[in-house]
Amino acid sequence: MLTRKARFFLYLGSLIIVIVSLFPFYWAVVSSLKSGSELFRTDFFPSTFAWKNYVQIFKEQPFGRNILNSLGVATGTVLICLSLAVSAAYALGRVHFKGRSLLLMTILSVSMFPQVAVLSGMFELIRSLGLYNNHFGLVFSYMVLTLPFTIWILTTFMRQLPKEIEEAAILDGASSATICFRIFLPLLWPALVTTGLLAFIAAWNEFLFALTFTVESKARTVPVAIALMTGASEYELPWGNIMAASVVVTVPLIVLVLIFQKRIVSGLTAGAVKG
Amino acid sequence: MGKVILSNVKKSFGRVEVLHDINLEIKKNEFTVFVGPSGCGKSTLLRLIAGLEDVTEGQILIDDMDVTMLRPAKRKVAMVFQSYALYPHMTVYENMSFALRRTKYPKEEIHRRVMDAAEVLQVTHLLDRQPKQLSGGQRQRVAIGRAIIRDPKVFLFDEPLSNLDASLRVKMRMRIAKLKEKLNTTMIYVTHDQVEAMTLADKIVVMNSGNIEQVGSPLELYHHPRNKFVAGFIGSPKMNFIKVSVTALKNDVVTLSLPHDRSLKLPVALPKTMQDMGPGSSAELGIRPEHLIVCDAASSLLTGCIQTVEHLGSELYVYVRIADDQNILVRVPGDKNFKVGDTLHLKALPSDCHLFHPKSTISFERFSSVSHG
Ligand SMILES: Nc1ncnc2c1ncn2[C@@H]1O[C@H](COP(=O)(O)OP(=O)(O)O)[C@@H](O)[C@H]1O
Ligand SMILES: [Mg+2]
Repeated sequence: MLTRKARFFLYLGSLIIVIVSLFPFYWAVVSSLKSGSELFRTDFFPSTFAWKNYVQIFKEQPFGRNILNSLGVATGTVLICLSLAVSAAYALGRVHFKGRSLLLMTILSVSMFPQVAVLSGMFELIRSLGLYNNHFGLVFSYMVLTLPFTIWILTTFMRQLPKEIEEAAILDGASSATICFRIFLPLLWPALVTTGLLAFIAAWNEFLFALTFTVESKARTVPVAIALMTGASEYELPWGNIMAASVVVTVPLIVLVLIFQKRIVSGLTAGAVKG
Repeated sequence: MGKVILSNVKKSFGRVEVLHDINLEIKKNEFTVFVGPSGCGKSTLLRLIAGLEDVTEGQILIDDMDVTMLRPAKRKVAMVFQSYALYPHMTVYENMSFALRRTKYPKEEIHRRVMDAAEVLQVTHLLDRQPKQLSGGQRQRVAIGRAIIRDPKVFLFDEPLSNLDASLRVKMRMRIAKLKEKLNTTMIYVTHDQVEAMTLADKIVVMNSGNIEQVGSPLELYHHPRNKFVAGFIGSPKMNFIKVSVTALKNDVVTLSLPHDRSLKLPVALPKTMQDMGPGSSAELGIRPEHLIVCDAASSLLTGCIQTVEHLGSELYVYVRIADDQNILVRVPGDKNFKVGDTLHLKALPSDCHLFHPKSTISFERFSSVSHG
């Protein structure tokens, strides 16, 4: 049992962490509800609830379209990324072949390149594939960001699955594909949800590729759309609109995390799967 | 169906050879048990037969067909794993039908076979459950059911009972014995528990550090262990080994000197490899705890002071110090009243005495083959 004092400090510590991590989001919510010159006063609580900003972002630019773009790109990224990663993780985790750990290290090292370093190469690649200003181009380029860690995490989980289950399936006449997708995949759900969510967030928030590989405002994804929001004049930054947009695009992530919350937690203990 | 022949089978993991030149023939419909201490290579041998590991050298034949290079699923063998290895996300029915669903069997046929197997193993009422909703014994039965449904030529069991508690283990042991009668298929069963081996086997294969020490029926191994390892491994409680020295060797009779200046004459047939034995060499005399008889001082072979008495109800385990550094265990009926500190005189029939060559540590060749009445 904790003493009263220890518990006091525990709660105090937790409170500080919560405030520090939630304050920026709270500030965005508060700012998004202010209008005009109110924005430049430091109020910790909104005095008026101005929904104007929220209406404006959808009126002044194709923000709804941008959200749909982001949703499509992120979902596509997750689906393609997971199906590639599951197959790769099966090979890397369960099949013995020469150079396996070298390959795994290479995959990991890919994720260490700064994004800018691959940017120009990726640009050429995407243009020559005719994917410029196209969502497939974004999905394609996001693989560079999401595949390495997805493969790594899934490989780790794949390795932890009991060998005897695989051997039972081999004796039962199952092919590698059957073992991978009919036996292991269902056991990997928690890990898939966790990595899928991470990949979704990465794709949802990505800015540099999205900025470089799209031109029209209709094709843009949300982070780019927000960054390129302009006010009435060139010298005015529409803070209220930007904050409102930020809040709007954070909501889907929160909803996703809440939906899959249980799965994420059990994803951390998925290694304990016992026959 | 299901004759299995292993010829000159070797298996190495990297540079370590874990099975050395295994030769073995398993007749069809025979219940064979591989028994030996942990790490001796029993599971590896079983997995070689299943095809889950590749042999490094040698051949495996099932029903006179060379299966050495065949995929596991093509060998017509089924295996029951120690951890059951049920598919956790499938129901019992799906688990049992999984193998057949990989083939082109008609649905009705699959259903019929699942129901049949479920009835044999009494898991019919569990068919809709998932493995996590089953007890250990039930999972074990489903695992066996999943194996028999394929109607294999050879069943392989790798320590199937070692995850169960003691009373359930006895129950499942009887169930497996019954199954063996019913199915009439070749079964190969791995265990480190010699009681399981003795009770289930038609034929026991005793293994030790990658070698087969002896192959025989349970009683053969009990009465005629070929070396000290088998003698010590088969039988519970363990055989006593007493250090003795040879004083004379004449006309196939060896005279041994025992502690307290006693001597014992045993008839022996000296094998060729043991020609170096002679007066003055040391040897080990093996007598099982149940073969020691309490007697009077005059006719006794061994004498000593009781160190410990263990009451097991029906019988007593009495530990007797027969020499300074030598304790032996005697098994006597439970109605006897022995106390620590009492002196005990013991003898044994010559036919219950085993003599072992002293030197080599792994393969103590049996020195004599004592005639039995
Ligand atoms: N996949 C493997 N890689 C390396 N060594 C192994 C492997 N499998 C088993 N061994 C070794 O082979 C020996 C025999 O193992 P095993 O057949 O499992 O023994 P048992 O089943 O009799 O306890 C052990 O020394 C073990 O360490
Ligand atoms: Mg084993």
